[in-house]
Amino acid sequence: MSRSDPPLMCPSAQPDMEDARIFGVVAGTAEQPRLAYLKQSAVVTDEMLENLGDLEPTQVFRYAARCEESKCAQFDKGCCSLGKRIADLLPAVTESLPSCQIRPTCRWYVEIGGAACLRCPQVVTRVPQGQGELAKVALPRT
Amino acid sequence: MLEPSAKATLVSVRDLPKVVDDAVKAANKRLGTVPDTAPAINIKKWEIYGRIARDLAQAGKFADAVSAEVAKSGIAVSPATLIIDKHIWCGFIERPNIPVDRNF
Repeated sequence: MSRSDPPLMCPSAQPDMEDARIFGVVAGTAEQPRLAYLKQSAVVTDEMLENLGDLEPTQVFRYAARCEESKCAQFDKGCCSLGKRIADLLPAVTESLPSCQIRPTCRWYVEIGGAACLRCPQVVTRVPQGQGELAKVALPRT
Repeated sequence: MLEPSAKATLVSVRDLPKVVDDAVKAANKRLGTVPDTAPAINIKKWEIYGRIARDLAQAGKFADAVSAEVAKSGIAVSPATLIIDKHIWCGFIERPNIPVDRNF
């Protein structure tokens, strides 16, 4: 990347991070969450966010935000270790690249390529305890 | 290993509210925050007992006054004013019927 390139985005971010934006809804079922990707024109309103009850926004939406790089526990040797583990350990859940708004600046895509995108729909940023493989993959290696 | 499904879902503006509602229900179920059988929205039935007023200030005064009188009889009520179209409804709502339960 050159200096003029936009900063890379974390595709599993928190809403309070810099330049945070929602790019998907955690659809699917309770047992098998699947990200539904927002079209450019589909914008989540404040009203929708206010109606989440006791849920955290990350339990219903996926956020992208500016990658915090070395401030993040997942950042290792200049790359996102989480994206690599997702590509290495989780199965592909879609057979073609999802139509995703953030792909051009997504750190996972830039570093790993489409293999990350084929697995991305199963990622929920806040993983409930005991959710099998996803929870294991989310933990940074020590 | 899960078999790849055909394609990831893409959400349009029109579908977004329903997709979000379904996502909230699924998240509540996944996290156990609300029983699976809970309705999406639960608002109790309520009614305003009172009259139609001509202006908002008058309506507020009437609602306060009538509520105070009814409360003297030992009935739990709250003053209420509601504008529907061009009509200003004012009076009181019985407290047991105030819609405090909103489970999404």
